[in-house]
Amino acid sequence: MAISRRRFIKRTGGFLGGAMFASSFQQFNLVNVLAQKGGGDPQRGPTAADPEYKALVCIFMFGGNDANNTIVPIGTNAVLPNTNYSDYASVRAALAIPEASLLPITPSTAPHAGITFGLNPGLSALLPIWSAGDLAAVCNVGTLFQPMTRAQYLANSVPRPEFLFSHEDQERQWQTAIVRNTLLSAPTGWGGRLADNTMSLNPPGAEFPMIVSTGGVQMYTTGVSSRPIVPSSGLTGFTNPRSSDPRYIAMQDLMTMDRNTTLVDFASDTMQRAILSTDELNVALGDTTTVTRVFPNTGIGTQMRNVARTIARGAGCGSLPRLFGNLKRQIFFCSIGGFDAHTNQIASHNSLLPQLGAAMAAFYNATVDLGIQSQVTAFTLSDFGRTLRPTDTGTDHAWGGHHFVMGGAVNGGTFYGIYPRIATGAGNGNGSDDTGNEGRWIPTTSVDQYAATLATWFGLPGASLATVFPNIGNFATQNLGFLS
Amino acid sequence: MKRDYFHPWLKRLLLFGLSATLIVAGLSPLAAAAPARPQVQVSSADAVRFLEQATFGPTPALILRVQNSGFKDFLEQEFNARMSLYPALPVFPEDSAVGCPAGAPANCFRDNYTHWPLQIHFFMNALYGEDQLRQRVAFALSQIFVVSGVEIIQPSSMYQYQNIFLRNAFGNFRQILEEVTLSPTMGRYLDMANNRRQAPNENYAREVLQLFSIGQFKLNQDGTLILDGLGQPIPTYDQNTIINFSKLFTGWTYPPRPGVRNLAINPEYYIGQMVSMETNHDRTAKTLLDGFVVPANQKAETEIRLGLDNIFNHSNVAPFICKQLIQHLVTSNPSPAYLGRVTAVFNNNGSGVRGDLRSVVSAILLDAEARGDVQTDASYGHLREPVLFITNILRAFVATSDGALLAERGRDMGQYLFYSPTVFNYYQPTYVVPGTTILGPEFSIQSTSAAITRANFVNQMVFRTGGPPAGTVINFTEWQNMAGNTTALLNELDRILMHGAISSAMRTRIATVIDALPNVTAADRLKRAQWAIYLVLTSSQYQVQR
Repeated sequence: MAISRRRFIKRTGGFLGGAMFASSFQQFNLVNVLAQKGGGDPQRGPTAADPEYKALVCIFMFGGNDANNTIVPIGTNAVLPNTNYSDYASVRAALAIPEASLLPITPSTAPHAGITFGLNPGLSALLPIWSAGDLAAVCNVGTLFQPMTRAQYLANSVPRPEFLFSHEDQERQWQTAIVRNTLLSAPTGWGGRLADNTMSLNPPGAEFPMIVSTGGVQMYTTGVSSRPIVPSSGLTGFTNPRSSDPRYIAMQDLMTMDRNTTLVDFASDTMQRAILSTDELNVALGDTTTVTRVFPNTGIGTQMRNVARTIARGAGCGSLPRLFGNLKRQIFFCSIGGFDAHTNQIASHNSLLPQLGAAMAAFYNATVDLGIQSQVTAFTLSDFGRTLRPTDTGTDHAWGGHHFVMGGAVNGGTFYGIYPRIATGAGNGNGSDDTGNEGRWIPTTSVDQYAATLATWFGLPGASLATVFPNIGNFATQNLGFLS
Repeated sequence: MKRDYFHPWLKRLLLFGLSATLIVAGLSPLAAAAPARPQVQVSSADAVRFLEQATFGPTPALILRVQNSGFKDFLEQEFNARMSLYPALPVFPEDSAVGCPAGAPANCFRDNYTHWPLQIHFFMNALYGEDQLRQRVAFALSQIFVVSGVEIIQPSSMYQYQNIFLRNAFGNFRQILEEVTLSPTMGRYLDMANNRRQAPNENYAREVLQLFSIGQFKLNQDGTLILDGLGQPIPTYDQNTIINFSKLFTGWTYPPRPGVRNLAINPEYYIGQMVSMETNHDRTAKTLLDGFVVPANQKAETEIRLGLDNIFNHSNVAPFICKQLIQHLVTSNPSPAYLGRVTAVFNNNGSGVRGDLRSVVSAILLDAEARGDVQTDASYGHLREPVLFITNILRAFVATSDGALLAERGRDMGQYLFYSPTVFNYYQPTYVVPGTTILGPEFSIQSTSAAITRANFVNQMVFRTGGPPAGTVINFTEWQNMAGNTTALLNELDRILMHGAISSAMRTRIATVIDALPNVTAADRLKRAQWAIYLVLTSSQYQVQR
């Protein structure tokens, strides 16, 4: 089958690519040493990134993206029950996307092979990436403590995540991968814990924070010891260099004092991290030459451009000196808000998805330009999916939803997980994934499985998997296989 | 509303306020000594701490007023101070291209389709308003009952909503709950407006329980979690409760526009309260909190009353709401005993009234855990949120300001006034400071970016580097006059900004750097003052208000 051949090529291509980099080190080294007298990473050539570098890029869709209108079945099929356009359209009614305007995609692997689905037309920018095999969808993924059926949900017979359908809680659970006893748990996110547990992959003494958030302070970005940096303009008002300005030196000293007061201690930590890292980050963000790809002038477009610029200089792409102490691993958090479509959903979704798709496509293309696409994986998260059954002009908070994984390491062009049976209530004799009657899908893949697959690719040792994802043992499959 | 603007205390207060300014300005010691001063009842340190909690920042005049009045009299003055409301603003057409066509005044869009005029009004009241406590409590309430300019576009759609909290800051919580619920602004924001029985919308039902009243887990009256036999917290409601409330909240629509016939589904309009339309109201029986059943066939208006009473009387309201008020005004981590003392007042103000905010605010501010010259508990205090950081600085140095563009400086620090990113406010009351077990809500917006932006704002204000907010200026003359003497300078900065609690290490370090500066000319003295002020204001020790 085409898929196995393509996947074979991707795997070997990635592997051989790595081998080629490795075998070329000597030459690059020579060129480098001759061309540059000191500075930068001596292991890096004028255009080649560090082959050991990897980046994970989280894109959080705040408010709860309507997955039901993001990926829609087209036509009818006998492969999966209740997975026809008519099942969708009959409940979605006025909110249904016209069948003819959907962008057809055909997943290549079971159980979805043989079914035509349609991407929301707002995501047209992602189609070439899907075709290149570098985009996959993970279906009906959501917060779970352990697998659960509709019958178990209704009988309340197995533990479920706390406060389903609540923004604040579900955002936190997606970001922490901790769904029960959330009030009593240490407030760390899985991105932060992943950084804690992969920090040793970096060169000794690397001080630059592994996590950069263009979406503000987020639980995802906070580990037991890891803390994020959020880009900003630099500190102003000192003589140059500020390190010799007595007022700056005094300011630094004040930050070492009164540390016995907890809030003062943390505020000073934050300021110290800001001062330590902001200027260096701004060198990357101000570099308009290494990343040449044009990004859309939107909030998410600018964020992803900044991530691309940071990755480019962090991995040592291009001819300018490598930054951030030659970190081997970086984690990014971007966000796009406005998905909480209780009303006027069609207009808002039609505005948001094209922004998302265009930003993701520009980002992917930028990594291809840099030759680093197999070392960078981007993926989406969101509070929850939304009810299949509309309210008047919108939808309510629901549970499982579909998410995208993008990058050269992605075994793409297909779906992972299981697309939900689009049947509200008890279903039509085929069973149902609905919690009630509104079309709130009980996830068939957990956030833990989704995240653990990403983390394993990133380099998290199997022995540390349960440290980062305490509930992963509740799921039989701990690697969904969408990355290689 | 009738009010005697020349109440004797006000005259006294005006005199003291005036004399205080003169004392600090060092202009006329004689004038300062002239009025018959009552005995000082409150230490300077505790007065400063009190004003940090009860106002938008201590001013030299207010510090004296509190010292002379005592806390209780001061509160009484504040309860009776003339209320400053947001002004009524004209309703513009929904489409700004119609409201501000080509040729319209340059600021037409800014003034009518953004919250610019309300932001200015807010900052002018915060900086100079006489009703400081009312403004401060209203600000706290507005951060519990959140709506956002992200969705509520016109300031004319917002001013009435914000006035709910100003009018009721010392009123009853039940009244606020009702006015918020029936506000077309909230109706638009959380979709209760035009919520129909055929397709009940869960948004308001969920958030009124989760955020505006009882929270998610059953609480003891001291705010600690009630645990079940397995040591687990107990949810206060479930999805069924939300579905029942979502039905209860059906059948309301926007108030009719003037001169337009009332319809079952009115178009957006924000003046007045929402009106009920029985045809769209769900009349089935509903089970609410604590098993309370609303029988079938009730009118929308009856059900709203029953539903809000049901919420208001839930035992979680006092600990859930009082804890947040304490967090906003005093400290992020009140002890259970402190919270318990305040919730007792919420539950009964001593006259059998539940939800009396005037009594609650007094209880919060007069409690032993709020008062005193210094609080030594390591987890005490809270990070000054951006708005308070800005106003405290400007008030301490008696800045002149037109109120413009201060909201944008707050935005750059993570708090864009009237534009909360979501209904969960700019920052979350349950945010735990990483690496600790204590709460620090304001830290959930204190990124590395916000930290640097704060320091850069101080740089701009202190060294007068220009740029927005150009209409806000501090005159440092009196500080310059004082700055020849390092000890005097630091004493006064310590008194005004740190309520006398600056550590000896911090004081010594600042003194060292100031003493190393030249001290000959007036320009030298200005620089000495500016450096000292910069170092205190940018310090974590100042930014965390204790």
